Amino acid sequence: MIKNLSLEQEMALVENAKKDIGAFAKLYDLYFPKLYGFVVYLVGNHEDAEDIVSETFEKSLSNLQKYEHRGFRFGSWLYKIARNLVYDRSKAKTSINLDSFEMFATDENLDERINDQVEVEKLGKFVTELKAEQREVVVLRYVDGYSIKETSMITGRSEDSVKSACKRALLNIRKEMPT
Amino acid sequence: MIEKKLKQLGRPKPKDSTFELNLKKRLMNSYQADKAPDPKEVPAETPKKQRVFFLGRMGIMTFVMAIFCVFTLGGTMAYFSFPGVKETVNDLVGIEETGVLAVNSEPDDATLYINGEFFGKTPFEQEMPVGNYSIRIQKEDYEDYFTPVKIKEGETEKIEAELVSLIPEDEYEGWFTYNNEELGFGFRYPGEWEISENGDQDYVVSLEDDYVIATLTHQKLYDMDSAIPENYTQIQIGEGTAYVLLVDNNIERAIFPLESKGQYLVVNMDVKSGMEIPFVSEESDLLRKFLESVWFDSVDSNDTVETYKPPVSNVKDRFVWQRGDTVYSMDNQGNDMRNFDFAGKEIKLLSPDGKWILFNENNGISIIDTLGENYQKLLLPQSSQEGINAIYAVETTGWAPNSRYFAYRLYLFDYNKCNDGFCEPGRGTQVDSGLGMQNGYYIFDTENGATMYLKDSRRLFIGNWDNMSDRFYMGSTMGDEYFFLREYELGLGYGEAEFHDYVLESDPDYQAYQYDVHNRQSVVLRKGGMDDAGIYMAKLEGNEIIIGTKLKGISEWDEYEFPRFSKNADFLFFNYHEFYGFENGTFVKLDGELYEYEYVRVIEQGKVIAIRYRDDAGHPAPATAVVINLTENKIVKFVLETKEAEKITLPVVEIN
Repeated sequence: MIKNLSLEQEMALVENAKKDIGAFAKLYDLYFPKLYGFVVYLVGNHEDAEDIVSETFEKSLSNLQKYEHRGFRFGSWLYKIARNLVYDRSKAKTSINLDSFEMFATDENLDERINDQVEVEKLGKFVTELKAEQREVVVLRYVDGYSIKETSMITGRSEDSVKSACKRALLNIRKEMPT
Repeated sequence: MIEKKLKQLGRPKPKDSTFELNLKKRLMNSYQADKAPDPKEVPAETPKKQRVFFLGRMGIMTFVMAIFCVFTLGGTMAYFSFPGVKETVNDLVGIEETGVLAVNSEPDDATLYINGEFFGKTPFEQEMPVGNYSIRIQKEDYEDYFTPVKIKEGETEKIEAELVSLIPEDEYEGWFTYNNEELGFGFRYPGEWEISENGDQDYVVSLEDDYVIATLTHQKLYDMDSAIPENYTQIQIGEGTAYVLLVDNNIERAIFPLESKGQYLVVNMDVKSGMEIPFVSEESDLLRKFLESVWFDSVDSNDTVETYKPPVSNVKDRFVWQRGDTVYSMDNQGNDMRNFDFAGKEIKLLSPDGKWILFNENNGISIIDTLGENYQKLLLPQSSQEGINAIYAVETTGWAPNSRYFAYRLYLFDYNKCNDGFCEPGRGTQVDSGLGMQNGYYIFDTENGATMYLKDSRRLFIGNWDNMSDRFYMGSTMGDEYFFLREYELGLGYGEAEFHDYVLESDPDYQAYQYDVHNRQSVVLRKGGMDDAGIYMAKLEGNEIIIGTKLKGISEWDEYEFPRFSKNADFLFFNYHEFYGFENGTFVKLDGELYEYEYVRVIEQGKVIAIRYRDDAGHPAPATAVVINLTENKIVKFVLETKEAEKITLPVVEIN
């Protein structure tokens, strides 16, 4: 996996990807794990996540020539496409039930990064029990490290609304998991 | 801290470990299939293929010739004279001819593929069988390098690959970057420059070093042409034009305006006295670099949903929105465009007919008549008490459906005692208005400028008109007593309005309610709380609020706030997330069918809603609005990008 790029490096890579598929492969390598994780957190199962992620990359590739840099990371665009696909499917009630979760495994490196794994696993469970709109904000903000502004752009919600969803999500988690 | 622990949550990985790679291959292949092959990238024929070709076509002849040559006197000569003969003979007797392939790349440590197979890293040197090969050199952040190569016997074939970086060369290495997301501009500057911010009004940021002071100013809708003195010399900086004041060929001052969507970022540079910056010099080159690095994207651009102010209201007859300091108004068929300068004003509420705009100005509220020839400005009555010259209005509660009355709530302050000369709730000193009333609700009549006070309204909220505009309702939402609705009767003259209370006695836990009253027989209540949260129909009878059907269960926290009837009470509207936000929304037909739209803005008792779409690729399309006229089953799409609104009629929705 390639390391994180600066905004400028990423812009250059995107411009290059418009001409050379090799550069898109790098964007793919950079964003696949993050995007996949985000989508699983949203849809709660791997089957739908695989469909959504495939469709997201296909859509982004076919729309790449139209992509314009708007001050956000390329990933924000991918996330937004993915999120829209998730919600479109959820609204069409074809397959996705945003309130139903399968258990899933996370990074095998988890052990090395945390001291109290049990507690974090519990936390993961509470996150999956949040309402979809709170869950997506929590994952974007805290797991993926997107700013309020980027989260707002991805979710199409106002910054205030993102803040209040975060607040409510944290309140709900705290209720379950007193610190 | 929960937030910290959340950061430690892992990301789920695909169950199928080959999914990531397979998807990548599929994407790459589908892309390649669409693309015509680039001749540069077509690999050279492999030696093996060549040999097959050779043996296939000329092989028999050569074979016969080779045998003959080896076993005859001329054989030796032929062996050395004809490469094809030599190769075939060597093949037959097992002698392999080789040469050396040496590959260097700049930078090194790049991956080398020969005929598509991994061979190692650069620098690379290896003996290879003679023949043609295709070479690919790959390194992260660099373009792939392709070349064919022919290895000849006993010779060394050298490839020196200059890899082309995918990342543009940074002539600003060692410079710092400043980004002001709030105002939408940024620049790069040398490390030795000092930067200081001043957020006061337009004056945004200043830069300073030994010989130049640069200030950046953000200006809205300012005519730059008239601001540049005539004696300034124009020079091209990147894609912009800078204006410099030259004295003896030294730069004294420079102005660099950047325009974006009707706004300017102006970079002013003053050379410190005693310093000289020759027009063409290393120093002036430094300034050029600095100016070229300045980017500006007006915050009122259409780039994000938030930066474009959504329509303040979507009204029965007119549609009104704001961009920057200008308010635009048009009828809901896209005609009769009007615009108003709203610099320094904050729009609060529009009347349902779009005629009146109510706004905050100078610590008071004013309204203008947008349809008048010379639009009329009415100020609400000021305090009559001597020495008190400020009123501050909060909760401009709403217009009556007939657009004649509106309700508002006043806080009164002694302007002289407000902090920083500016009053807001909780600051300054609250005083008696001289009318003997404070913190209550008023009704203003636009026809004659008269004001009516709503008696005992200080602790009531969510003002709401009935559909006839002759009763005004307020509720007790404090939650410390039975919920009740207070009905004020208008039309009894001016002064104080009389009221009648309806109590919800089936409310043992004193919940707060949101509500909308269409008439006494049609009331909608939104109940929060932990139990039975939902949307209910109700009616007012005698002294009671009688709860009827539960339309929809809801969660306590957030969804379906502030229910509103449509004009004919055949629809209910709700906002997700945020009242008066341009958020996801829902409306419910009272037969129970649910319609959901994104970015719906809900109006009070109206029949028109607006929607903003996103495009297929997921970009928000904030400048597009759709107005749905529910009662006529029509959709009208407005593109609000420019002043000249584009109207598209779409026969889209079957409401009934």
